Amino acid sequence: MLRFSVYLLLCFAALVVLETGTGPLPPLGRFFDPFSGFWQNAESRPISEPGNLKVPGLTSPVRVEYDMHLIPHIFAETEEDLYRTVGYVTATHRLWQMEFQTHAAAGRLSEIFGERAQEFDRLKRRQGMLWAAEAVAGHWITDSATARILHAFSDGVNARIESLSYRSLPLEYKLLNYRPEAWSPLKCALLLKYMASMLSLGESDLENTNFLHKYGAGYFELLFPEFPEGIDPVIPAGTLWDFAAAIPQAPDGFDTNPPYTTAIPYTKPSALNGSNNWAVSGHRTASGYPLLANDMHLDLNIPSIWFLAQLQAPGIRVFGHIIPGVPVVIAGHNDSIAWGMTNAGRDLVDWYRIQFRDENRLQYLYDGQWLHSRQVIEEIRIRGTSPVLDTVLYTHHGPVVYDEHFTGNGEKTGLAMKWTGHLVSDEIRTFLQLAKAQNYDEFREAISYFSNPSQNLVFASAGGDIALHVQGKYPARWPGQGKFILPGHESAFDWQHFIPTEHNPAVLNPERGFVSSANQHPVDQLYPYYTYSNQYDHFRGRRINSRLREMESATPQDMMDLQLDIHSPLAEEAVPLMIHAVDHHKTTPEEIAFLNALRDWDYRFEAGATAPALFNIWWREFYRLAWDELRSDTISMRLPDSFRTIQLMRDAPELDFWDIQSTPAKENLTDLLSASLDSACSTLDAWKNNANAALSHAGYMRTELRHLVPFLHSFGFTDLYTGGDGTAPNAVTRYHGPSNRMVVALGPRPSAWCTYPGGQSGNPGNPHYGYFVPSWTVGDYFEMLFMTAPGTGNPGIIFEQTLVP
Amino acid sequence: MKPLLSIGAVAVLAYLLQSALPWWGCMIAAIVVHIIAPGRSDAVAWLTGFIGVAILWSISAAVIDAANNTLLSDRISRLFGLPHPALLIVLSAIIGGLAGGFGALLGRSINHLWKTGRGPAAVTNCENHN
Repeated sequence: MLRFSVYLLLCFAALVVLETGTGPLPPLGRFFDPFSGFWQNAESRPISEPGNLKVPGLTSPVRVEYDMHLIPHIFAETEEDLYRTVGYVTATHRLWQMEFQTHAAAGRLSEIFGERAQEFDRLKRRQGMLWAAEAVAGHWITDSATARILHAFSDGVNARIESLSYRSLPLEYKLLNYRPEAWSPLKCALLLKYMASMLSLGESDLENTNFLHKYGAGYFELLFPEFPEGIDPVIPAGTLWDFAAAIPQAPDGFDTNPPYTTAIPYTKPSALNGSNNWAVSGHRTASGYPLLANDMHLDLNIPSIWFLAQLQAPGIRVFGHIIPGVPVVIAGHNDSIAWGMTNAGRDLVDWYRIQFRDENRLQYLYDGQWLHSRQVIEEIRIRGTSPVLDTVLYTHHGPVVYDEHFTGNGEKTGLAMKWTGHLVSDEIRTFLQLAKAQNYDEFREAISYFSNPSQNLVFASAGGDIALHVQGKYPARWPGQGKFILPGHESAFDWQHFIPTEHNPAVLNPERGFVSSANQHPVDQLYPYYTYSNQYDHFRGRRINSRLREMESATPQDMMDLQLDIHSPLAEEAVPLMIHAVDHHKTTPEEIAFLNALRDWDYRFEAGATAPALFNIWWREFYRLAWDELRSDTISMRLPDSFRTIQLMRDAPELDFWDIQSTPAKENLTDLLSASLDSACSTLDAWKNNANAALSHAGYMRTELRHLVPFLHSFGFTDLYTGGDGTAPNAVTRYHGPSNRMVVALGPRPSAWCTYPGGQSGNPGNPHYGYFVPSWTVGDYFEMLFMTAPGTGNPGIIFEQTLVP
Repeated sequence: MKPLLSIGAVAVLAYLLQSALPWWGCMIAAIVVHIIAPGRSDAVAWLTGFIGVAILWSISAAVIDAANNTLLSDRISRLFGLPHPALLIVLSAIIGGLAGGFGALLGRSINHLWKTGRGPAAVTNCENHN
């Protein structure tokens, strides 16, 4: 009896231990079981689905044909069946990623990762992400067409989820030990907000305010001019505008020396988030029809943010890039038109200083009255421990993000965030309509619903039009409004009205025969509205435009070559200056060799070349030492961008800022360059000591594709041997770069060429997980299949599936 | 029952149960086999339970691994800090084997309980056989 009891206990103990995860480990029994654990995610073929499948809710059969790239071509007889299938198919290949990104947006990562994700989640609650998503989802209920489609999509996703047992769960669920929950249109809205935040929360109003407070308006203008010389705006310079702009008046007594803030600004999305796009008119192409190109730059993550698909139903035949979880083509083409997007910088967030009545913060001052703040208790569920509560206060401006309870550092007043992303908007409608649009007028009608974030939308049609629209919902501001923290207690400082869509910058069939954008200034100073952004790019657009200007009889290959162009205007402009101004009397033999290598350089960031690595090392050291005054643990300040830095090097060699803080001497530009060169050589020596190969740009850069969960480090791809630089069209850096590359040739029948760093399957155990990574790395493209009907026996199809009601 | 037969029985039964039960079906298999054929001693029972499941799990994992060209085992082994992907097969075998071993002990003790319930003579007979 004793033995029985002991062994019974032992068995139970074993069961419990092997069934529960401890710490970072998954439940070992479940995970290692070859019949239902991770081994079941080790696939032998790209696709192991049944050829016939019942999907509840369909009204007629849907045909899904997968080509060799595992791109699904979906043929449905009704729109709802189509989107229901899109839901089922994207959930088949990318379920974990879709859901994970909505958890991130909603501030629910602590449910998966425990306490270490708590601060991240608190930030998302305070940024009002869920609040914004709920507003958008609520709006969809009133727009029945969009609502029907999103419900069908959600049903399709849920049909897939419901079919999953532990055995068939995606790998990350088994590793991280949780299960998927039901999908809904609210999650689609959360994903849209997730993307919007990546593209529009990179502002620096707090950092601007702190700089202004410390150094004054004169230095602010010097280091951060709104229109530096030499810009090449999206809408060609010199364009005239024939509308009457309504611009609000700046109130009197606007404080030009606002107090600084000790709030530590949250981690911003990568400043490199942006993209290139352009279209070339048929007058300048070999075919006589327009060409369009778009590559969107984001963090290099896998599974990719993009999923390629072709969708067909009565009235729709469209191919392009879908964000898993949002059933619309963001960049792509149909039979008649093609479109794409780049981020159009604009300050879309303003911060309002809130004066609360007392410590209870139940009321705040506004136009001499006390308004009630709305208190929302956010419950953050944390795996392994009890939930944490955070009270978020909402004012009429928006949520109070920074206060004494959140990186406020004693900030008692509170800073409320007003973001265009909080507004009700209808981006889904834009993309649903773009999929069906046939010409420029329909394109314009479709994009009029697009509010957030701010995008340069490029367009080309088989009919011969090319266009570029800077589109978004922008507050009409007086010059300077919103660049610094605003007082939140006076209505005169609120946003008064929005710029009408018809007044947004746009260009159709320009003389120069091409349109392009690469996150630069949208317009020059002739445009009447205030278009400030802290992040306009100054390099890629200029390079792209100079190449496009030279092109006659452009071909799709020319477009691809331009996307892969690795010539950097930054290097071209900085290197001669730096070599000239450095003190040549003080250079060591090692430094002389360094400089000679740069002298011989053609400013191309080739994978195997040495000079690009040398330049990056030196430039980074120089930039770090140049702006050391602006780095502080307690007060965050903005740094001048590289473009302005070069202009200051050229025009202001005696600028105070060239001084290096850590030395007693006062350096000028020459001293600074020499010191940074010395430091660069030390960095280079340290690298050489650890390296087992000669210095190369790719070897130093070590481009890496990281899994969405960074500690799942073996699920990524490291040391990708590629060239490029953030300041060249091929904007590859270590962790960031083109998340896709697309070239479309319009004509009687359109063609497209695509690649992206990732694969259609989001399963690390699938042979197609990193399918496109090698081609993306070396710059190859695949021609895409654009089918007109299913079942034609196309040799490119590897698997056919029929989904039935 | 000869130990080899017990090992085989555990493996076969565990294989049959896996389509209906989660991972602990292998423990049930070991329990059941060792109720019927408890083996000469606890140590032998533990070994036959362990090896039976370990063989099934390691062969199944190895077949999957080969068909997958070790794509996934390579990533998972690196994630766990293991020097070689094949160690994952070993680890799977050990984990399943442990469940099988403890199950065998439990099965054997149930067999003993049942036998002692039939009277001291049955126990003597049982012990004489052992």
